[in-house]
Amino acid sequence: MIDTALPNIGLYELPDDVAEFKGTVAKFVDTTVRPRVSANDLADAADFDWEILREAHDLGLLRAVIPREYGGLGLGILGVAVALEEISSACAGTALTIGATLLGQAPVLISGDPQLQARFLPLFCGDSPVLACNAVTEELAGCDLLIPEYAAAATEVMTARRDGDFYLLNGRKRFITNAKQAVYASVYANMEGSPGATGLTGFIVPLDVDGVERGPVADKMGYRACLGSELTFRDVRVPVENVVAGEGNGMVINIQQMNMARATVAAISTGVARGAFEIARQWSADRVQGGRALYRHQFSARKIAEMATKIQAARLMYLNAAVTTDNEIPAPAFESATAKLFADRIAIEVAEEAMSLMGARGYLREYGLEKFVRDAFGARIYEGTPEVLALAITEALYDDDDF
Amino acid sequence: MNVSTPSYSTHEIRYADDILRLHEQLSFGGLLDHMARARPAAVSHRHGLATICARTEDIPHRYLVGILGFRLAEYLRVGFVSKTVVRASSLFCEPVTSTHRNDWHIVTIEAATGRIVGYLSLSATTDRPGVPVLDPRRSRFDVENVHGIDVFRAVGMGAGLTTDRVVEVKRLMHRGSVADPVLKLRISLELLLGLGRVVLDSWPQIRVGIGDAESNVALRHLLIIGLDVYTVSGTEPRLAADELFHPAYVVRDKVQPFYAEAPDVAVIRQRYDYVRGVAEQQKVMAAAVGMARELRGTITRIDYQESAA
Repeated sequence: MIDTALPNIGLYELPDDVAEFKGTVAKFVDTTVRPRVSANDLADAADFDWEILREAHDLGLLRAVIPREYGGLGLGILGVAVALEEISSACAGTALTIGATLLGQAPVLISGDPQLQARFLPLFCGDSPVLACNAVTEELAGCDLLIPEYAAAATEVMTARRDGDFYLLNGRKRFITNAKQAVYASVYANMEGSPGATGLTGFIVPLDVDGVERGPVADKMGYRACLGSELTFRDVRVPVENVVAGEGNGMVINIQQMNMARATVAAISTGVARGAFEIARQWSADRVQGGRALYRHQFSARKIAEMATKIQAARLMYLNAAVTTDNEIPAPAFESATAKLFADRIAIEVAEEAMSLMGARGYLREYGLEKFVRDAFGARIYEGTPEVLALAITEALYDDDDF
Repeated sequence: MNVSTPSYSTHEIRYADDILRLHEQLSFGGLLDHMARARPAAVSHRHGLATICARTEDIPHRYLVGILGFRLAEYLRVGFVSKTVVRASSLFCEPVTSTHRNDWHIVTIEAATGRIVGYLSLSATTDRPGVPVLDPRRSRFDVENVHGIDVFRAVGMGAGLTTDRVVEVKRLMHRGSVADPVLKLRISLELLLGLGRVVLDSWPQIRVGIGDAESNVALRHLLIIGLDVYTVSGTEPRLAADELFHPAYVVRDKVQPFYAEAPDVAVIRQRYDYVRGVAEQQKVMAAAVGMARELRGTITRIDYQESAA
């Protein structure tokens, strides 16, 4: 029997605490997440399953990357990535609720500012599940806020203006996972007077302050268990202590945040691929045509083999990226971007191929596969599209005096 | 000593306010669940309050950080810690390194909300077992370092006593936002019952409690459970201005070291049952008045200058 769980090969033998965490999360997925997947997928766009999240929080999923000194589990990106593969093998939306919280935590962690860390990281360590979010994308500025060379050309970016001991933020951010429920957002705004996004600055903004408005929840094709909405900021006063790494360093922090998080997104895509594959694999064992199981037919066998190979490769790439991220400062661009680029692509390919193996039944909701097909397209959009990733990868490839 | 209030910068005040706001949002009912599973005998429930008695080593790190955060927040609230030091050191909790694995933590939690509402600590010595308190080479307890005295020599006690039989009674505190006097009394009773439970369960390990306190606050709690307390006047508590707890000895007047011996175990059990009976009463205020009359302890005041001479 093929074991689609993580291989215990020498190079990537998980540390004991991460392996134990993975086992705990896998059990949580089987007992709590899987039974609720269909209901959460079919629910109204604005519905949110706090019960799953409470249990996830009790296990430590919302504080997995937070250092132990702040009450976290201190498992690093590796721990988060491994956990998110498990969760997204059942529900990518639930995985992204947790992943997006990591995105909101990342600038605080990257800031190297112990006062900022002391003020925000322990929030995740009490009884109640607390979510964070990351607010980057705007109506007219998406990739322009992710690629330094495009910063000057960015249009109508959210603004920040210094006003004594505060900054005033004005603007609107879109497509933000967890914006509806988060207690704070990491927000990127351009310093007034700086052209385009050349003065992009990161802020940690509590979302219960005056001037913050949470927009309606978007009705998405996939990832329906997590809520995506928008945030509008009208003269929102943010204390100077909430700036991340100083004025004008937003692009650097944003890129570091993405480099840190991309291994976890690659893990989500790997999990989606694995979830689709597991359904198709079982089907291919159960379905008999021409007197034998589907997997014994050569063309089908080829498909199954390719799918398994892609998942294995994606997994090894995200593990490599996660381990590298945890052990290098700053977090590496190449490993995480290549891992995400590959995993996002194979998630779609594997889900599509799984559907072809299942035929009509793959198209029906009741078999669970079509959800993976819908979810597979999601990760290609957030934390760097293939185009943005390609630029990050080539930047790394040619970042050398020889070129 | 003149009571004065330190002055702080706007940024220091803001940081402290942020830390207070942070802890207002945190609850730790999960600690109750954990202890109920791991050490059920360590948890008692009464009138919506749950009290845990546990050593540092028995408390999961996340909850220890939460408890130490409560301690810092409440001391920030009453001005007993330096906002300058809190901000400069980026503290959100008292340093975990300031606890010893054998320290006892008595934590009263509001069962419905999981919020910590009361706390008392019994700090253990850092000496190895068996070191006499009268040995000049022994480790000093915090109260001794602050007041610059040997508490045992000051009160003329300690013969035959070893430091591992002594605990420093510290951080008796209620959550500042608790205004209901009945609830405050119940919290006090639960903390005192926790103290009794620790002494009984570890008998005869803990024989003496020392510490420092203002007479109308912590000392009152010891007297109403019948303890006979020695206080030492005439000391000059001193912490450097860059020490975290410096303000505790600046904003308060007459903070005096104290020494109290645990009575015989049969007496402790009798008083414990009595206090528990009071705590279980619906009309707890009236019952507590009776208790104060019934169990009243005594204060013997020692003048340090005279005893040193």
